[in-house]
Amino acid sequence: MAAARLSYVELHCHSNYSLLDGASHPEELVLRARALGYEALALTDHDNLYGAMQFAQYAKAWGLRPITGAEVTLAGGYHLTLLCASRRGYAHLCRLLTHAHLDHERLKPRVEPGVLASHAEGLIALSGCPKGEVPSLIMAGRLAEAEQAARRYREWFGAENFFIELQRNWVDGDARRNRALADVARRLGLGLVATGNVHYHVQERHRLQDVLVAIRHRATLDASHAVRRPNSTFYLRSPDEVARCFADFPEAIRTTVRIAERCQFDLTADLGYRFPDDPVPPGETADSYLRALCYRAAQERYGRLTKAIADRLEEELALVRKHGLSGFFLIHHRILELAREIAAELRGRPCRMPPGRGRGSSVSSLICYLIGLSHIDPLEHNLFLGRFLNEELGSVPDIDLDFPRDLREKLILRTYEHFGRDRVGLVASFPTYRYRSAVREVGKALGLPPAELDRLARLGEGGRAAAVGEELRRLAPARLANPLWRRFAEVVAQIADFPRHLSQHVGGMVISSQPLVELVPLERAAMPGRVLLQWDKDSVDDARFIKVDFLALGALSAVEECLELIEVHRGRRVDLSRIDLQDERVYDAICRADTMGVFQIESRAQGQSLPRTRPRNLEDLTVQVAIIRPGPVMGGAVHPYVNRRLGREPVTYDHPLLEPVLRETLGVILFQEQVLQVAMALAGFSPGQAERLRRAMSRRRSAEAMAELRQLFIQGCLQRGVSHEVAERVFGKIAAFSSYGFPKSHSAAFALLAYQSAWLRVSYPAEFLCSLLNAQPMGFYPPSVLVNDGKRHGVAILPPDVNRSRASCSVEGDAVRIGLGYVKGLSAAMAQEVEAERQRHGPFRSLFDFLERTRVTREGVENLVTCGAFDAFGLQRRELLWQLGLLYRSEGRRALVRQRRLPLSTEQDAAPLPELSAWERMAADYAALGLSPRAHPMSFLRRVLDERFVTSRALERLPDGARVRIAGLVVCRQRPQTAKGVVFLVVEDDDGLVNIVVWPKVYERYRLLVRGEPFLVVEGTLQRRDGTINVVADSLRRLSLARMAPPEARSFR
Amino acid sequence: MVEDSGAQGSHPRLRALNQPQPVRVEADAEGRPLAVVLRSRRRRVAGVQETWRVEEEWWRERAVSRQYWRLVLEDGQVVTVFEDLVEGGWWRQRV
Repeated sequence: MAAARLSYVELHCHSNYSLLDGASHPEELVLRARALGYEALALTDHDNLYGAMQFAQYAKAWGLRPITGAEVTLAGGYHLTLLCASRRGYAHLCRLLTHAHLDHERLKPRVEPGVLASHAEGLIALSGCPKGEVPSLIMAGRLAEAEQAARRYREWFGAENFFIELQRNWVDGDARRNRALADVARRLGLGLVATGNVHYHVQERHRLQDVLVAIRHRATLDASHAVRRPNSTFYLRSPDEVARCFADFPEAIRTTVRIAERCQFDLTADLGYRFPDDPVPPGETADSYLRALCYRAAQERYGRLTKAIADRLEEELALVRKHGLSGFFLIHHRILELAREIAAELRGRPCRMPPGRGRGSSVSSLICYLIGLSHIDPLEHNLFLGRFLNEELGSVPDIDLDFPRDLREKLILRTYEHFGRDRVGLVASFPTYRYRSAVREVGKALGLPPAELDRLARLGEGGRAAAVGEELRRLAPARLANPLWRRFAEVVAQIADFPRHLSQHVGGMVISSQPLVELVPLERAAMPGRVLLQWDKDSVDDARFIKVDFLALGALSAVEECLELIEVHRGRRVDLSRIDLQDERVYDAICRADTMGVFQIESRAQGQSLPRTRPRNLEDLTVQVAIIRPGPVMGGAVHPYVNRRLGREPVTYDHPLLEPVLRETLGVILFQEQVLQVAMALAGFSPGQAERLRRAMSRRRSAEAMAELRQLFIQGCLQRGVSHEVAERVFGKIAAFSSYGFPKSHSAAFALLAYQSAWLRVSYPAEFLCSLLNAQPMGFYPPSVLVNDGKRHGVAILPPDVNRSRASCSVEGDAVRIGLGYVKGLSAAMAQEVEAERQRHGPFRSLFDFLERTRVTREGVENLVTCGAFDAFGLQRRELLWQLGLLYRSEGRRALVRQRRLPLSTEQDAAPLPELSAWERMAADYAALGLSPRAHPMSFLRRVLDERFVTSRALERLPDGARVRIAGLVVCRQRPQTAKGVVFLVVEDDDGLVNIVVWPKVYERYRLLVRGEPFLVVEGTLQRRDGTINVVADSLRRLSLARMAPPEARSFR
Repeated sequence: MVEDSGAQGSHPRLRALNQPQPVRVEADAEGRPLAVVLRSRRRRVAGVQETWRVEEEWWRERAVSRQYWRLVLEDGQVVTVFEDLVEGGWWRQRV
């Protein structure tokens, strides 16, 4: 016997992108194949290439040669295994899969024989699993037809490209089928090939596979016997085991290697994608046209072109020319022009403001500024270009565009029309199993009691499914004694992060110069008329496609409306790209954490940080935006950074090698790209290895891959003379940071928007508040808290008024008038109808007049009355409600409308009614509007509290350590996973907000109060730290409202 | 998604497995049957028509894991036996 090991390549293998069928991540298959000594591995998911790019990238990174393929479903339901031999074969596979999806009902892909025949070139076909046409006919005893079918495939693909596939998974019938298949092959002169029909990387996963099949059939395991696999042998086999399985067909094993050698198509190489050239005027090239556009815009922006401007522009244009990116910039310019057209249509007037803005590193480019992509003058603000454009550009620069919400929807459709339907596709995403979905679906498949599953799903802290073991221990420890529940926990943990279905990415579109269908298969989205690529954003990125992200950003909607309001009310046109970026008033407010409503820096956590870090410029703000993210928090970066910034501790580095990459962030990791830089500096990773590390962390987190990388990292460190201890410590920080941080350029763009919104808030508080109220839901605080903050900043809040309010909130002088749309029971459309009716036929003259002229529901009218929208008619709210009851009587509104010419007097029925108390008016406001323009509830409750209570404002004068008792309305409850069980409350009283810290022990005692009580009395200790004030609670109780509701109010309705 | 990819065309329904009888089988070290004792008479195995594996009910107290053999005995009789891989022991299955 030859000592050489028999080689084998698996050519039929499913990942979990064979949705609810394959039971291993592509990464797990790759690592297992490598461990088994495979040289190559094919991925053949059912009717898709969802995981193909991810698999190929990963396989290459680990030194395994990836083969791209798919198991397609043919008309008649037969399966066929297809592998790409060449680029042409790949294009054909893409076309076949696209045909399977787009020409058939959604989720029922089928390839028609005629289409298969005309796209066979470049593909190698294997006759398939037992559900293939040839094996199926054999098992049905129709041998002649089986042979005929094989003959047909041979004709389509050619005798050298069609193979008879043998599988041996220890299923009854395998031996008989394989003998018959071998006969057919012999008679037709076809090669035999052995495959494993792999559905998971290791045998233990067969349980998960069973569960996936049960979930797919919406059945329990017991009820899905007939459709489940009969045993656990559908795993990746070692070459030795394959040799034993196919001892009677050794040539079938050798053929696998031969086929693998012929599959030379490399998905990770250039696919030939090109972004389209936007048509340029005759006589111009893309380069010359971009240059002309920039110079024209520069003339407009700057008036006079200084040498500095011209130099920078020439430098950038040269780089753009060098990398052939002129067309790329022109496309973005085109998209912004389309957006501008849409904005003009939507707003009914020409749009002066650029309709969208870039985030990310594009803000550093002068070209981007000039073509309207970025809103920041890079020269004035001394922004470093290098990250965006440099001499050795690895990939196309990233440009994400943020748009106001309404505009974005229309822009997606307009882009389709402009570039052509076959050249534009939406990027896909794959929602994955999370804790709740995994618990519910796995539990159902195992037949566990629904009530108990529901409890486990609801009470769990959520998040990753892998944590199910901990949750079970916490919530139902007794269950762990039961083997079925232990299996349950095991499977739930395994299903974590498995893709569940194909969905649409939030805003990514790919635009291509040639039909996309040659590059990637297309598939229907659930939303009619939309077409998805079969790849998610990471795969699209790996393919070096250009993805244009159209994102909807509520803050941008608010800023845009704010500018409009300023122009309408003050006659001032604010150009945000020209505002003073060093306005001290703005930074003073930021350092006081007086930032409610400001983009990115308004949250409770930010409020705790701002007075410590005290940002005084855009660079500082860039750090500030990045620092309150799970990455830096988990990576333990926040406290060292704050202390170092305050000069309380020296800036140190875990190792001198880290100084160059961490100097700007005082020795801690704050930005995503620093993870890569650290790995390169400390462990000597190549850029490719560092990228692999980033992937392992940011994508499907695979424990095995991380363990390998950790090993590599530590070895690399040791080689560079870094101690084992330091290497471990730094790797720990990187792993904790993971991917949950912002890249610096992204932080910079967000910091700019944060500054701009802070500037608007300081400069035009009324317009700012109004635009926030109209852009809801967004941000951290509810409208009721926003209006109280507005009042503290001198903005009066006016209640809704049927004759003054518009549908949305509006500005009156220095006050904000609440819009009719805020009244519960009035839809946005109805509010607009009321406004339009008033504009057409003049003010409403009475409640009766209003009822006659509008179709607002009774509930809506009642709420309008309750919140004072009819107060201007001189009647009290109770009288109006009484009247309303009489007007409706028992006939209801319809009868009233039909008989509206009858004289209708209700005066004789009127009853003298006491006026609502101020407290009742306030309570009615909250009920009807969700906020009160008039008063804070605590201003009434204050009267019944004794002098031991202090107000939020009074806290500012008390010393650290003082015992305090406060009362207020809870506006925010947080129990961050990063805070080890500590609960943070924000309580609002008539003077402002108070931050409360509830330690776990206290929380356990007062859990129900903390979770559900709206008004709380808190006793505790005042804690002052670097300008922040917190109350550390030691006891809590509810604040009774009983004394506030007078008895007659109760008997009224 | 594909319907039914787990289905095996000729796989017997679980019900059919239900009435196995204990049987004496002599097997080699790898579990390959060499002889079967039927009605007190030892018969050598002349050939294996098929062997297959069934794994089921892992979610129950007692999981099922069996290696089946369809054997041709020296006298030409065809019998189906399985080895219980959980508890050990051989059983004869009358189809």
